[in-house]
Amino acid sequence: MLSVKNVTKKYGKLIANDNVSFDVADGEIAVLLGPNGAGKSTIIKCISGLLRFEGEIILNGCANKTLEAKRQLGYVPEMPAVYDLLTVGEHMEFMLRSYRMTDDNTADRLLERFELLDKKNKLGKELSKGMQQKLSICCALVHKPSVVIFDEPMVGLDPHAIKQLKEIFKELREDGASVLISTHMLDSVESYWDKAYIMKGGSFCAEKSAGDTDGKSLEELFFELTEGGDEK
Amino acid sequence: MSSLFFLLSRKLKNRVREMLHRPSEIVVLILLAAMVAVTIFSGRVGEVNGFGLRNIEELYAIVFALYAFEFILISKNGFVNGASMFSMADVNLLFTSPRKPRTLLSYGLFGQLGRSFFLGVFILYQYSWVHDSYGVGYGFIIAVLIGYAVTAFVSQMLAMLIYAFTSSSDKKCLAVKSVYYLIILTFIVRFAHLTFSGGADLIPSAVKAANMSFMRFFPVAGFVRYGVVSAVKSELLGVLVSLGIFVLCVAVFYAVISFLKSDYYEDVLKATEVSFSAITASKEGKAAENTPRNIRVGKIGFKEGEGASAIAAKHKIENRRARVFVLDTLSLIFAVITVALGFIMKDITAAFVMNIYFSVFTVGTGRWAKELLLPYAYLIPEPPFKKLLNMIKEQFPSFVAEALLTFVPFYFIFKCSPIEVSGLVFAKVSFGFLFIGVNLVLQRFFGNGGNKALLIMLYFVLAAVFSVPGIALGFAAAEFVPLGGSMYLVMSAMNFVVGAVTLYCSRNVLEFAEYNNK
Repeated sequence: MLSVKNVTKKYGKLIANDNVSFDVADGEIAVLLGPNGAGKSTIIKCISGLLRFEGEIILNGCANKTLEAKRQLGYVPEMPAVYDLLTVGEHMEFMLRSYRMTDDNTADRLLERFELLDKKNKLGKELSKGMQQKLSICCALVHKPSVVIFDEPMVGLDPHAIKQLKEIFKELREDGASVLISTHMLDSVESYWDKAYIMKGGSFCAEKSAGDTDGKSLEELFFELTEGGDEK
Repeated sequence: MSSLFFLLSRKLKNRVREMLHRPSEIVVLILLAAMVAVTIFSGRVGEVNGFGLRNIEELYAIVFALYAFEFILISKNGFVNGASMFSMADVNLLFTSPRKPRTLLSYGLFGQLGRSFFLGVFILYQYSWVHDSYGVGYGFIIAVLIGYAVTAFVSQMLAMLIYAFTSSSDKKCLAVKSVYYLIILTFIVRFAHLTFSGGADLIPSAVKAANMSFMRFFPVAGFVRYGVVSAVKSELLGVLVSLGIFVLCVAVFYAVISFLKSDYYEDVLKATEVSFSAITASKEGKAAENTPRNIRVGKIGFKEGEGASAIAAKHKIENRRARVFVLDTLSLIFAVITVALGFIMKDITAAFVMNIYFSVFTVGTGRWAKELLLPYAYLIPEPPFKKLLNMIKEQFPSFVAEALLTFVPFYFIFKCSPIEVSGLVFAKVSFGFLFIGVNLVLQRFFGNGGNKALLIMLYFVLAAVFSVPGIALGFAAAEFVPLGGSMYLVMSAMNFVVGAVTLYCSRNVLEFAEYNNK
């Protein structure tokens, strides 16, 4: 369960997030939508404990900066985060060791799903941007987090990886994880979102549940709420 | 109005406008100007009277060394990526537009000429010591700056030319490379021969060798130094000859690139992409990893490390692959320069101060600083202080190794006592520790955000302020304790205390600092 309560984040005079509150329940996929500069990445970084903020963020009953909360969090940043001089396999090993976990073959299974297993001995710097993104996703999932935050996870991914990632979203939901996805690719999350939070100017302008759309698609809802009409 | 002129003028106008909207940039500019003013002022405080000045020929030799080093550093890129005078936006928008390649080459050259001047701004800050030591005026500094820009510009063109003609064939590349290094080697051998055969005192011989007319034929640096020195001495002929060679070089390079190799777009593409990747990586908060071109992966996997110590174990693997065995190249270079300075200046304190000044730069480039640019150090569920200690752990063996490599030779050069050498070694390590503390304090308050230039200045100011207690106590010890090396030992002790307090105060930096990868 992820709970964000009255979070405000300011950069000097600029208010990036203004009193934002929302929840992502266990076994729920929430999507965070909004135009560029709406404050999506900022709230995600606040949740991940990477930024200071006013308010409260709770992960499964623990404040987000506690070690207990960090143990349960998986974060896929908007830019692929890999080490140039570690091999793909060593990235997995590093994450497992850092989280004091033993490998039960999860690492290899993840690498296989993202077609990285045959590149296990390749260095981070030798990977293309898309492959780095895949590795970044594997790093975020290898320690089996129960709250997973994805910031634009599909950018640069090939069709196979996008398909795998969509399946992983569903599997995480089935396993009871709270999943928050920030994306601009509305049709890519159309078939499995449970809740949609639409941001504009640093705060939410709408909140919708999947069963509460009057038959409208996510894209239609998005344009209706952010631009006051149907773009199509 | 020509669209290229519009582009150049608009870029300049927007740069100024952007600066006016960012107070921090104005502050940086004012501080830079103030620093130039201070160096001029401080250099003029004690007007030189001609008494005790060093031989001006030394300065000419230093200028030659600077230009020669700059030439080699820039031109050798021609064998790797080439050189580019264009941005990625130029490549994407201008190269694809219906313009003559020659027009675009002129546009690129014009922009590069401006950038070359900015490269040498640091020369302006050398006024104080060159004025005090050699009695030269500000005109000399301006002449050296112009020479520096000219060297950068011509070397850049040469690199572009080398790449254009060698990138398609390994054989051509090898042939040109052989000629290139043979020419440089010839000058080095000649210089070394003249230096070592000139008598027991090597410094005057080296200065004489560097200033011999033979050295005027050293590629680019030779004629540029000749022009600068002629200008300083008001010798019109020398200036004209040098200017003529410069114009000839530019004309020939321009003609060769634009007429014989009119399709040069591909030749500058790689360098542009490399430079663009470095800029993008920097904007995305990724520290450029200085890795060998061919990395030997070697043994794969972690042998140790659990929890926070996995970070230290990772650093060992990364250092092995980056071929950093305790000391990185930069630290090695600084160690050698310090020993050379000690040898030349015959002054322990001056060489020590210079080495500590170098440390200010090297400490912030450690692997621990790169770690702060990726999210993992913040996300790993371990106590922040434990993570921090594991992040900086790899620095200490290199501090000790660098200190030993630098100051043990002082035992032989200055016949220092073992206690004095130990004092120098401890002091060097203690300053490294202290400067890590200063970096962390900045990280604690600014994270990775803020104006980079302003933060660097603040870093220098804080480094100076935090060093004051150690330096003051050190001088007091030198005054009251009649033991060689007491100054350095007491200084080290105080630095360790200040560093430890700073580190402790910054213990939660990974919890409270703002991670900002933009």
